[in-house]
Amino acid sequence: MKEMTARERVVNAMEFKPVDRIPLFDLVQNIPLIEYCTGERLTLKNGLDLLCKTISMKLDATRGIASPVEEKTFADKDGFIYKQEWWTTWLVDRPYKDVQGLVNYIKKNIEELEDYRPGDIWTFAGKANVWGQSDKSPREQFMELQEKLGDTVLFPSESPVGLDTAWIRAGMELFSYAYVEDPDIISSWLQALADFEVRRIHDVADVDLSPVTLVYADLAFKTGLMFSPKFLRKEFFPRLKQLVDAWHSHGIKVIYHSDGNLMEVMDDFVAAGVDGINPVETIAGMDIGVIRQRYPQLTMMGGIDCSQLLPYGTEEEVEAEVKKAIDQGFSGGGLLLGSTTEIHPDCKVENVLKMWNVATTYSRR
Amino acid sequence: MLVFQEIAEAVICGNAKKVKEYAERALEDGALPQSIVNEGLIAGMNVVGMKFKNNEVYVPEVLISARAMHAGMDVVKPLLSASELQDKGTVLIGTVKGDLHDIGKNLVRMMLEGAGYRVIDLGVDVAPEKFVQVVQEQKPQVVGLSALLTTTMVNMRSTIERLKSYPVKVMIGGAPVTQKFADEIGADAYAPDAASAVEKAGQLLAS
Repeated sequence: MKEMTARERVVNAMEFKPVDRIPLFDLVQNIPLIEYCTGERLTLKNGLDLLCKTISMKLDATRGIASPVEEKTFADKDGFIYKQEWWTTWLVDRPYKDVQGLVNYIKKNIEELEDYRPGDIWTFAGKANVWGQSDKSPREQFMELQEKLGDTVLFPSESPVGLDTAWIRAGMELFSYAYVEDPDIISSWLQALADFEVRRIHDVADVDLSPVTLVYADLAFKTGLMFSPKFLRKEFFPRLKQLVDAWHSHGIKVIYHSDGNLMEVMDDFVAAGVDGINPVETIAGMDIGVIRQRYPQLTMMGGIDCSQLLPYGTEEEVEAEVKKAIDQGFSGGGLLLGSTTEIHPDCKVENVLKMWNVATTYSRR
Repeated sequence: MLVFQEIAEAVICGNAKKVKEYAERALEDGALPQSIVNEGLIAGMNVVGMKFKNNEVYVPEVLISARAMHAGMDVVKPLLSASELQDKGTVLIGTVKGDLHDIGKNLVRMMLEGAGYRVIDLGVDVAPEKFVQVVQEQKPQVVGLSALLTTTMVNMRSTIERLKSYPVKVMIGGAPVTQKFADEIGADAYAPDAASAVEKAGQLLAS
């Protein structure tokens, strides 16, 4: 088979059509790897260019491309305190300490969410307007990044369902207490977050820019779900379906992201219409073979453990796991191989290179 | 006493108002504060812990039950002697340096408190020196270290090394942590979830 473009490879794999080899997907946040691949020293100034150069050389698809940022702590206008370090933002303090304070904030936030303006995005780290931060439109910014990435498929800005935006902003304890004391206000908040995102989707979706997107809300731990299936079926899955339908209406496929073991509600994800799941956290019990057997038309993205294997394993162990993932999950498509979330700073460079090399050669058989 | 059962059931349901009401009634009826704690509040949280371990209840339900348990503790705590309060032992917990995640650590705190332990919670991003300082000052029997990130779990190793010369047992837990890693860094125990952390603490205190 002739060499395919990254986009052809990704789309065909998701449609279970023939591909020349397995597509590689990842989120790269590993400085030694970037420096190894590019042969240049990474700085805050050249970080974005070197990251894109690495990805364009090695991967078929990626997400979450951003410039690394200097370590800093700052407050937003509402009094939320954030800490930023390289590619990570943490919410470290909130302007309320009790349920009433949270409820007051939610009411204000719902008004903000109803006031959507083109360019707005809303995540656990608050509201931002990408146009407000740049003199370029989101489309122009996407095109600029895409140019740096060459052929590699770039998922557009990730699409939050709103549940983890809400509980991270509220704090899990206050979120839980508020849901008992005033379930309607939490429900209204979750709906406002989903409706906001649907408006944004119709504003930014363009299949010519990217054929795939990533919808997310972290719902699970290694040992199982954080929330009950009953709660999720009432407060989460209908809103997930809203987002999936919105992306699908533009011809864009949806990969759903959540860490942890989702097996208890996998049927619900399929019923909501998602085309694939990520990161397939194998160490949490997400078994590639079982998922392939139960959901033959579901694409998996990830599957190679970044928790133990890539940081602490040997190259031989990585090779065995990659071959196993391909044997069990790549039935002529249906698997975009990569780490179970990201190639973080502790992943060994030799293990990551081994993962990529074995995947590209073994899947060509 | 029937009221202990009612207290336990109200804890399981997460009904703080009922727990408070039943605890007050039990005291009026002459129940010992320690019995209310052991046979009502702790008994209820033990059930919640088992249900959580078996995926029958989830994080919000545990947090709501823990809040209800605390409502009962607020009623009886002033009536407990210092020795009764510290009866089961003291556990020092914290998320290790560089890591700001706290859900898992908070669940462990609530489960331990619910099981009757005195818990000192140092919060998140806790340096090894801070653990050592509080071990010297408060003399806990067990230290619990939490980490969500592979990039920060290495700080468990340095914390354990600093604690080696003190008479304290260390247990670890968190998403990337495994029994193998616990063995490699010399931890005394590994707990895969919050309910198991209570069991491990009990085992470490008994050893």
